[in-house]
Amino acid sequence: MAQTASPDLDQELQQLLENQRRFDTPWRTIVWNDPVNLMSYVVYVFRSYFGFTEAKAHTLMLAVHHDGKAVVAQGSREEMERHVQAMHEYGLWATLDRVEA
Amino acid sequence: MRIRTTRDGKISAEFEEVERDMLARLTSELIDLLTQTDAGPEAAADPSLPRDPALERILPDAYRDDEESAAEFRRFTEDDLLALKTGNALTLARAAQTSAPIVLAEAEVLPWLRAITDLRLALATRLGIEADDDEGSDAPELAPAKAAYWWLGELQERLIQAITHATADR
Repeated sequence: MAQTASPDLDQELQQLLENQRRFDTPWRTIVWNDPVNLMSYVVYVFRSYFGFTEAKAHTLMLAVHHDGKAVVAQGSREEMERHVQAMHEYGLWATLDRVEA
Repeated sequence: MRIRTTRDGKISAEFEEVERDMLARLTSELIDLLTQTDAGPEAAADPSLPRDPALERILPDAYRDDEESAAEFRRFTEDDLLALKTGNALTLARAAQTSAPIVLAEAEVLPWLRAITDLRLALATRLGIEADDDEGSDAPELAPAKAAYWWLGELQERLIQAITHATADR
């Protein structure tokens, strides 16, 4: 089996792609704490809508609960608006804003 | 209420008559809130028209510090959101008319979970529940709303447990 690239080149490429992604994705979706939503429901929403693992969904839910908010996604403005709309469909309190430099 | 997972991985829900009466009343109030004439995006874009605070909580601003973008977002999304939420409430309202156990596939539980959330958001507004430790007003006239709020929380918790079991057994 042929090797496509040396590990170093691979890493460099990954870094470049990562930089590009950051440049392209200056928006984020934030979910805010609300006393109404059950912890189990927030985990359920994060799992079923974003497809997060149980562990990741749980960690994010705890961040919302303890820190008052959590960033659940980053990407283009259009993509984040879709996420916020979806969160409002579930009854979660979500907003989007530009990622701070 | 009786919520359980059936042998074929579905969720069965059964309610007492008093619970069904309560669900019927609450869903009807929610549908009124979601379909009131001043609920639409045009009204939202006009700051001179006051909106029901319960509606603000069900349909929060998508932008915190940018009123223009928030209003724009409402113009594009609010009709769809109101229609979806009204549909969810109608699904729950129909369930409230059934005395026999209602059997739901996992996907069919979603509108229930969403309608229950909207009902609790509306009730929380009336009860003044703003922070995590708030238990809601103790005013006697709000006692039914408070009981409903906690009952709906229990229902939602049990439905989520039932879904989790149904999914884990697969």
